[in-house]
Amino acid sequence: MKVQLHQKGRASVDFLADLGMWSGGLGPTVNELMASRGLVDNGLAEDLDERIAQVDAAMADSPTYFAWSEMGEFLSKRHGVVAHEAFEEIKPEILPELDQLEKGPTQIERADQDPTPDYARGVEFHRTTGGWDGHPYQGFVHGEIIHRKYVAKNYPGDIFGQRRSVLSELPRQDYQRIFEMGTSSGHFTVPLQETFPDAQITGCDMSATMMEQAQRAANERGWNWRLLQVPAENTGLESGSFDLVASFILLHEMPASAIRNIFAEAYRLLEPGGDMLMSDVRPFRDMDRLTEWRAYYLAVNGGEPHWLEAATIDLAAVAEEVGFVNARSFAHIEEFRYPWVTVAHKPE
Amino acid sequence: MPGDGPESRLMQALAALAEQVWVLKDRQVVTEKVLAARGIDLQDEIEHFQPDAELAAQLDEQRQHFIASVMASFRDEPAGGS
Repeated sequence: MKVQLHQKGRASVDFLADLGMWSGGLGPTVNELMASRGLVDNGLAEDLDERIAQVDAAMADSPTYFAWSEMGEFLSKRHGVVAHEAFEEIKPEILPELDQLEKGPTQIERADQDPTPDYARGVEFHRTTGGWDGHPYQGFVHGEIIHRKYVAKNYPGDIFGQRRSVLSELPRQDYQRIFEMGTSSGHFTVPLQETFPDAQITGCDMSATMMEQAQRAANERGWNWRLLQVPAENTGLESGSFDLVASFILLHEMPASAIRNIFAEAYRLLEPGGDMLMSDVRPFRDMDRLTEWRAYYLAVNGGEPHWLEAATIDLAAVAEEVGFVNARSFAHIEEFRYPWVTVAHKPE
Repeated sequence: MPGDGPESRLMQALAALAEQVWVLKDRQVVTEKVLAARGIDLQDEIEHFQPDAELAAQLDEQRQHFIASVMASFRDEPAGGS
């Protein structure tokens, strides 16, 4: 699907993306200014909330810090609005294609009632306007406008290439029945299918609106995915149905208790000898206090209410608690210390 | 009272940006009117125009320069600077 925005939408999205790059480019200067004020290592408070208040107070007279924090706030509020406006401009010409691509071998099995767990109910993750169901075509808006044209320019490395290359961390290349947790708009599902072309893929998400874009991506390629609107921790699927369970950037959107439930569900769904691969954010234990401050600051102000719990849980230990063996958690790309991959094996 | 703090710099940047945006809006309206009066209606073509790689790179460079210029007042002075 080739998405061509109109002039106003294209210029607005490009502007926000470059403003994000400019704002992110202030980071090293902010670090230097903090260091000059003793805000490094043990000069930073141990408690993370105290650390945020400490840095805010100590940097209150810094224009650079002000711009860095205010632009982050502006971009968080603005990106969803701009994306919706850009969609409205192209809506008349693109709707027939979007609706046509919902027809095909991949269909969504929708829940009778909203399956959103309490920890996600009412949350606008990433401060995306309206959340995952905030627009009738939010899957397209988020996947093809926000993610592809805005987020991709503001994260280090190739965020689509990362979704493909993490699969090289798996111990096998012959998976036949794959379950993806948190399918969303299908940006990880596509490389899963391309890497394992003979596999039957089943995906799940609590938002059918988001999965509609995954459905279009599959139908466009003639693929037959089974997409279920269920929470990943309680799928209702038969035990031992899959030889691989995988997710990309899902776990930090939930509290530690839900992550434990998800790992237990992954273990239940795997056949003996199956593997689990979960890719997510860099844990705080891998960071110094300054890096940890920045990650926590961005999470608190970026619509990530569960990041702290997810970034402080030992995912390999949780995997072994629920029965997996040979569980390992590590940075897939050394330069970025991201994505943070957890691979585990269900014993025969 | 106006000062040199972040809020004052913010207002200065906003005013500078609004001025530049209005100059462009005025010029765009005038340009399209002049062209339409000469029988050249570009509105639809501009709306659907897709930059090629060369123009996209030029726009990237100019946009990034524009952002840096507008935000120039939000940089801490070098240590010892005035």
